[in-house]
Amino acid sequence: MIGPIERIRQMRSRRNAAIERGVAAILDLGSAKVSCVLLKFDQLLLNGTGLQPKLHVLGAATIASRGVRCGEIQDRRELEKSIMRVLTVAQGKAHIRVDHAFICTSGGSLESHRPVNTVKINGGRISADDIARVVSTTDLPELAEHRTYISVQPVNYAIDHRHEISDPRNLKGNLLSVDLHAVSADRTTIDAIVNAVEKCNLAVCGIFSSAQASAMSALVESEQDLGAACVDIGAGVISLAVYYRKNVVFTRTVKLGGRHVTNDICGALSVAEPVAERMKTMHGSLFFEPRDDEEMIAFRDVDGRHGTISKAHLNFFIKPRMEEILETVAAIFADTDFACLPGQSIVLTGGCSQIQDLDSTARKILGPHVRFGVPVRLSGLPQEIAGPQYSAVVGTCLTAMVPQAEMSDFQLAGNAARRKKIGRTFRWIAENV
Amino acid sequence: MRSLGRAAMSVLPVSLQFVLQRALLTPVFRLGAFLVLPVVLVISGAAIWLSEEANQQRTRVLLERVESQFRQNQRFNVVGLEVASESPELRRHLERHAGSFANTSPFDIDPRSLKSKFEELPAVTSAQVNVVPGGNVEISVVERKPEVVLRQSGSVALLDRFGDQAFSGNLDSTLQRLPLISGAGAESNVIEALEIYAAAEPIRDSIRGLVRIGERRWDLMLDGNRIIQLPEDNPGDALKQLLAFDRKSRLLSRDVRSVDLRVPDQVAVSLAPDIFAVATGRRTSDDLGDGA
Repeated sequence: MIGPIERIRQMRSRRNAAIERGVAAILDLGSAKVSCVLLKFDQLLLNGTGLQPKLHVLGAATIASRGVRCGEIQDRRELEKSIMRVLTVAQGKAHIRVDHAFICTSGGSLESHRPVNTVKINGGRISADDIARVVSTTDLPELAEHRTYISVQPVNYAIDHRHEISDPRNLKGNLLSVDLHAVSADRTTIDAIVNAVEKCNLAVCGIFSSAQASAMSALVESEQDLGAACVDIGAGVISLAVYYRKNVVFTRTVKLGGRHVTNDICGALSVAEPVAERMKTMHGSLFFEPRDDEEMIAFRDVDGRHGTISKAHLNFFIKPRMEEILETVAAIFADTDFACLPGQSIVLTGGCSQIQDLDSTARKILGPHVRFGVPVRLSGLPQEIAGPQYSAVVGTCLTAMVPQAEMSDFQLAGNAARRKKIGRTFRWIAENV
Repeated sequence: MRSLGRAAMSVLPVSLQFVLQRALLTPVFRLGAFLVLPVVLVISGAAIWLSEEANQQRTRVLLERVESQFRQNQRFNVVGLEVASESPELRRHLERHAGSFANTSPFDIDPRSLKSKFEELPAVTSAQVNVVPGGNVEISVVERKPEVVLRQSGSVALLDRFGDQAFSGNLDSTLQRLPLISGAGAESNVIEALEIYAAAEPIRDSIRGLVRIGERRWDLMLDGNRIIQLPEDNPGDALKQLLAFDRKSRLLSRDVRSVDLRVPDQVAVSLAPDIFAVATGRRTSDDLGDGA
C-alpha cells in the first residue's frame, strides 16, 4: 500500500505526462450530472510562480449522472457507462482522443486535517531540500482503516517564531515549521472512482475535491487572500472550502443538496423526479408574494392524474429544506474559527444556488457578506458551461494546472534521494576501482 | 467518426461506441483501417481470383474486347488531312503522296512511319506528324529550298546547297531565277558553286553557267562563248580579283575568248582568233591594284 505522498507524487508525474501530451480530460463526477471538459495545454507561459500551461477548451459535454448518489458511487458499472458516454460526446466534439483525466468528486465525506511539522535547519539558509524534508517528514494524523488522504498541501511556513511566510527559500533560521492542510476521504469511494476511470483506459492524473475546485474558480483573488468561504450547493452534496492567504485551509462536505428539495416535492405531490425537478427550477422560489396563492401550476403525478398546486404551496415544500441546507452550513462555520478571518465573504455557487430569491434567506442565515459566484471564463469554454453548476469542473481545469502550492514540491525530496544514490555509486566506484 | 454516422453509432452499446470512437481518433488505427486494410484486401482478393487460369483467360478476353471496342469507336475517327507547307505545289504533292485518311481510326495510323515516309521525299528536310483523334492528321514539313539548277546529260534537277535534290512545282519559273551548274561531280560542290556565283555578282547578267571540269575545278561560262577558267583553290577569290581588275581595264568587254586563272599569280587571256593577239605577262597584286 503506497502512502498518500507517494500517490500524490505518482499522480504528479502523470500530470506532467498529460501536459506533455497536450490534452487531458477534466471529469466532474457529480450526483446529478457528469461533466467533461477536454483541455488543450497550449504553449507554456511564464507567470509569477513559474512555468504554467495556457489552457484552451477543445470540447465540453454534460450528461445526466447515473450510479452516483450524494457523491458516493452506488453502481460502478453505471458510472463507467456515464463516463464513457460523456467522453464519447466530448471527444466527438473535439475530434481528439484523450488518455489522461483529472477527476473532481464531491464524494467520500471530505474532512480537513491540519498537521504541523518542524525540522532543524543546519547551515542557516533554507533551501528547497529543507522544504521538501519538512513536508515529507510530517506525521499525518492516523486515519481510520477506510479513510485515505487525497491531498496534502502546505499552507503556511514559519521560521523560528516568524509566521505566515509563503516562500521560506533563502531565508535564515534554525527551525522551519510548516502547517499542512490534508484532506481525507473514504478509501472505497476514491478507489471506486479511480477504478471506474481507469476502466475507460484513462490515466488518472489527479483527484480533486469539488470544494477546493469550486473555490478556485468562484472566488476572486482578494477573497482568496483575505479569507472567504465557498459553498458549492450541488445536487447531492454541499462542499465547503475556506480560503485564507491564497490557500485552502478548511474543507468539508455535507450530504445534503438540491436533490433533497426535489425529493421533498416528489414525496409531497407523488410526482416523478423529472417533473419535480422541473417544477423546482421553473417555479421554485424562497420569496413569498401575495399573488403566489393564485398562480396555479399544473402537473401530472406518477399515476398519470392531472393535478394543480399553487406556487405558494410549492414554495412551502422548498423553503424549509433550503433553510435547513443554509443552517447546516452556518453550523459548520460556527464550529470552525471562520469568524476570526479578516474576510467574511461567503460565496454560494453550484446548481442549487440558482434557486430564485435565495439571497435574502441566505443573508438572514449566513450573514451579510453573501454573494453568488459563477466560474471564471476559460478560453473556448462554451456558454452553456458557464453557469454556477459548473464551478467545480472549471475549478478543476484551473487546479489541474496548479495542483499544489509551489512549495509542496515533493519531487524535490525524491530528487534528493536519487542524488544520494548517484553519489553512493560514485563513492563505490572511487573506493573499489 | 462522422463518416460512420452518429445515428449508426448510437445504436451500439455505450462501451462499444467509446472503444470504437477512441480507435477512430487514433491516427495509426485510422491509417490502417481506411488505407492499408482496404488496399491489402483489394490486392489480395484480386490476386486470389487471378490465381486461377480460367479467370486469367476471362480477364484477358474481356480486356481485349474492351480495347477493340475502344479502337473501333467511330468518335475517334480522323476526318481528313491537313498539310502545312510553304509552297502550294509541295502541299498538293504531299497530299497526293499521303493518300486519304478520311474516316480512319487513329489507332491504325502510325505517325512514326508516316513521318519517315515523308522525310524520304527529296523536297522535304523534316516532317512532323500529329494525329488528332476526331480531327485531322496534321502534317507540317520543312521544305528543301532549291538553290541551283543542275543539268546533266539531258536531264535537269534542282539542288539545295547541300547537293540534295529539292522539289519545286513550277520548274520553268524556277529555271529562270536559279544559277545553272553542270559537269560531272557538280552536285557535290554546290556550296563552292554558290560562292563563285556570289563573287560573280557584278557580271551576273552575262553568266550562262558554271561547268565542273574533271571533277576538280570550275569553268565560268559567259555569253558569247567566253570562258573564265577558275583555279582549284579559292576560285571565288580569284574571280573577285579578276573582276576588280576588270573594273579598271575593261578586259572582259573587249574581244576576249577566255581568261585562264588556273595557275596562281598568273593570268592568261586568249583573244578572238581574228584579232590574233596573245598577251601574257607576269601578274602581281601591284599590277592588278594599279590597273597596269
